[in-house]
Amino acid sequence: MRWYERLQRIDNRVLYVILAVAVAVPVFARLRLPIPPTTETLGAYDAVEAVPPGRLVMVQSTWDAGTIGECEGQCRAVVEHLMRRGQPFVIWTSNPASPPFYNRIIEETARRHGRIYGRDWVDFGYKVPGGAMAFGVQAMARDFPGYMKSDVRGTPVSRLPALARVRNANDFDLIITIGYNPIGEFIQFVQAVYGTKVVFGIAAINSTTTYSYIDSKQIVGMLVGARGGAEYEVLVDRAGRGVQIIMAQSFGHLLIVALVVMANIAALAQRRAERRRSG
Amino acid sequence: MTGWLPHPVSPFGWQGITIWLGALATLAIFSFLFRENRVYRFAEHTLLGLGIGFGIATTITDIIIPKWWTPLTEGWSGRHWGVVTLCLVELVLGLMWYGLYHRKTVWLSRIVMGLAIGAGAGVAFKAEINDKLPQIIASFKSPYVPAREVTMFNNTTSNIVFVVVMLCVLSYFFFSVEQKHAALRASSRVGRIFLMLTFGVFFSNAIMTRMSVFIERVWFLLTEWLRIGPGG
Amino acid sequence: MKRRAIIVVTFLAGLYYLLEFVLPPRIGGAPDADGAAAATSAQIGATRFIAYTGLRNDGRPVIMRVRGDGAGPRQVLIAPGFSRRDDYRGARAPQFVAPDRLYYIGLGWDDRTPRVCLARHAAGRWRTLSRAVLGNGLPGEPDSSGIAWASISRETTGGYRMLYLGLQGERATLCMALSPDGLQWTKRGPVAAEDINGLRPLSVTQTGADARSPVLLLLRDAAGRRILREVVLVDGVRRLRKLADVGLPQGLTLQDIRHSSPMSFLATTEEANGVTRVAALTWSTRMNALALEVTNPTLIAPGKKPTSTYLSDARGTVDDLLVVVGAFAVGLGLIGLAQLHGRRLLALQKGWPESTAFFLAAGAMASFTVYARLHPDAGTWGTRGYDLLFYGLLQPLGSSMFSLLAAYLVSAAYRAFRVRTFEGGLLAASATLIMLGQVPVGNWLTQHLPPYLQIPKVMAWVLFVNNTAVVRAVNFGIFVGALATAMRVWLSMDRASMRSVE
Repeated sequence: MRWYERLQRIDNRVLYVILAVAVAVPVFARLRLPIPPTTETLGAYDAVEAVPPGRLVMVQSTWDAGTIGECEGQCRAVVEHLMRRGQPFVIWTSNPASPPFYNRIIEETARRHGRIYGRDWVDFGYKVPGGAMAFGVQAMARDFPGYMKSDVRGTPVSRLPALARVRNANDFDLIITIGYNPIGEFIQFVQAVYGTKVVFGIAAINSTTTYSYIDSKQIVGMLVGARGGAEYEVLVDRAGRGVQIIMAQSFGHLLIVALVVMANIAALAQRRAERRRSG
Repeated sequence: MTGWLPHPVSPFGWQGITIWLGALATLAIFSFLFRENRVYRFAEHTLLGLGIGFGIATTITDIIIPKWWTPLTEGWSGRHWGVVTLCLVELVLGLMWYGLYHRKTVWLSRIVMGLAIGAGAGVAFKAEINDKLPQIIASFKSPYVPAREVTMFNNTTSNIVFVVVMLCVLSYFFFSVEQKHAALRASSRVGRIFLMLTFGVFFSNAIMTRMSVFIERVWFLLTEWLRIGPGG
Repeated sequence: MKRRAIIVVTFLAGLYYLLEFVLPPRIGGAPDADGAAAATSAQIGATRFIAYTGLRNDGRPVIMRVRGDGAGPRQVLIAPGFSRRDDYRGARAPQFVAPDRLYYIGLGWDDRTPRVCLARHAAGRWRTLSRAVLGNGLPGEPDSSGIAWASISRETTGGYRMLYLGLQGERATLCMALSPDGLQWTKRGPVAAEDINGLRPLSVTQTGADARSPVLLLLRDAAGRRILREVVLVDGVRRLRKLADVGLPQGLTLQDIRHSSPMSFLATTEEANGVTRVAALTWSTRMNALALEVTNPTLIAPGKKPTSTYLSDARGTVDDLLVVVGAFAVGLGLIGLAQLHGRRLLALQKGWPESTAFFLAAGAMASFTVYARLHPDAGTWGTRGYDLLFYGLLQPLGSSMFSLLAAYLVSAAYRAFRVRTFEGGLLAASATLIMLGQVPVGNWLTQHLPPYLQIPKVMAWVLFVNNTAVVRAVNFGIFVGALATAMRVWLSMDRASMRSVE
């Protein structure tokens, strides 16, 4: 078998092992490359910075085990930013599996910054099923206390200090959604109607079609996958899971590029050899 | 404890059991990469069962109990017959879904399906208009950009390229008339070229998403289960 | 008959939401149906009138005019228009400055930030400037969140002086700006007011053109009591020295007050239900009393109330009904899977151990989850079992299943990604560029090259210009298609779903 044929017939299982080894390199070698923030991540960061002191932020977190690699870094960095600034926020989800993931992050960050539940953040847990987002988001935007009624601990909204003056979406300065899919309902029923700013934190696979929302100013910023999480972590000066994942991802992407180049070089050589043989 | 040799976490204790279970589950799924096998099928069915069980339980505890059962019982004990009637109507409509399982009652399930679909269609009007109309408006970019508003993406060249690309791609998807005219064929060809660039973006973003999850799983096995590495 | 019932139900469900979108929650009624506030006296030529803010809970605030005595027909002077100006989301708190200027607070299109805008009267019409004359400050400045209220006076020297309330979140700070022409303003920063700690300024009004004329500050204390304080600018306009507190009429809760004429004021009063009116006040004529008296408590009352369409009122109930009815469908998936796996298990067909695993996992997860969610702090075997199943099995199995695709993508890219055509080469080049640009390696490899060759910058341009243009073009088609499909479904023109009942 010639070299170009051997190169095109590497067993899949060998490729999988090489992939696993490639992404495991940063476990053994602590690598740090500069991670400059992109325009969309800076937009998200600036949006949080621009929220005036004491004004409320809404965070909607739908990530879970399936998207932990991309969204955990985003969530951690955003919560760090909000809690460091002392920006009160509410958090809720449309994915029943999500609360344990984001609560772990919030509780650890709150301990570090001395933040108090009820005053600095409120958790509403699983409030709206994914299939009913259009109804739930509209109802919540129209009458937040009336729809939410009580937090995940059963405390009525009226008794939560952070939500003393909240009536509707006008009382939120910023909405941040973190999850696999962009929650278009926030654009359709909140941003378009009340003008509240929206930031997306989404998986990279869904970001391709979401850049157009930035162009039309329907969203003010976006965190794209693990890269967005890593960039935000660098901006808030708290490198964590996002930076770890993106370093490992560098090797994974380099591997794919190398394989594609190698396979195409081999294919080109094969085509040339065949042409020489026939001609 | 950390180190360069694997020293797995102890399987005794709740945390240890959880990590060991997670590691075995991960390896069971990854075994599919080598070949389809019984262990993988077992894990796959377990995942299916767990997912279904979780979905049913959370639907009951987070929607049916707070939004239906609690209002029904409180309405009954407080004699709020309007609330009770509404809850009974919801029950009847909800049970109509199960008319699907008999030939004579399948039309009942179609009614409640029609209700859901009709509501979805109604909401879709508002959703699509609020979502897409601002984008349509923002697409009309001006070739003239005042100096103080110029950015890397908002300048004369970029705006012209934007409009040209958008029109060419639109002409590519124009199936209402046959693309006979040379200008239409040329713009369609240019549109296809720019579409290829976007497909490349789709592909690379898909790789990025999947790779992130894979990395997280590999790191779990190495750093949390086997506790390898300087930070593991 | 059955088919007709399905069609009618589908149509009515869609009709409700369509009407709820198209029709406002309330129809008819005046633009100031929910309140009249923040009035100013004005005069153009020989015509005296009052300009004030008309409020509607379901609409944007507008500026209206009425005759000088508060009677007669009302018309809208400044209404937010379609174009994205600095008053797109509403115009309020007007102040007339002779001979032809109306300053007001506009709420901008994309950020709702209040800014000072200007309309000028010419040729019988009020024309608004498209951009604000004074906007919000930079983050960290006392007016970074916008300008809540402004009082402008034209100085005897010809220049203009503005005292305004800058917002920083919920905090309001009294600030000053100066202008030679009323159009180009220079901010002079906060003005320190004496003895104002713990009091929140609600409005400020200058009573004369001279810099030494008294200024009236309306303040609110922590208990909600209103205090009207007479102050004067000193120290080169950097400080306000307190002169005296002015007595206010009993039983009135003021939101703002503006000087109208040498002896009179126009104030906004608020009722217990939140409805606001414009009242006319004047200096008290009693000896040794520095106080204001009411001459007309309802100079301008709210306008005609609209009629509710009841669509929005019923919205919460309808939404909840649909959510609950949808939730009852959860058993459908379980029944389908139970039938499939149950048959396999009962007949001991190939794969029955896996089907057993399915039932055991579903039953265990459902039981433990219901228990854990109803008793979250129990700390018993129930909650531990839930944690074990959730963190030990469900989470790792789920993410491992997702991550399989990464391995397949690598092998697929290796085997199938062959560049044979120009378009294929473009696809490969674009994918390579974005793959390298998404990770730090791309920046590291090209950081010393000129900016137009650096991978992150090229990637950003491709994403924001080319990619956005392509997606936009595709979205046009989706937009039309989605509306057409929604229309077809709503009108039950989709025959496929009807076949089983015909």
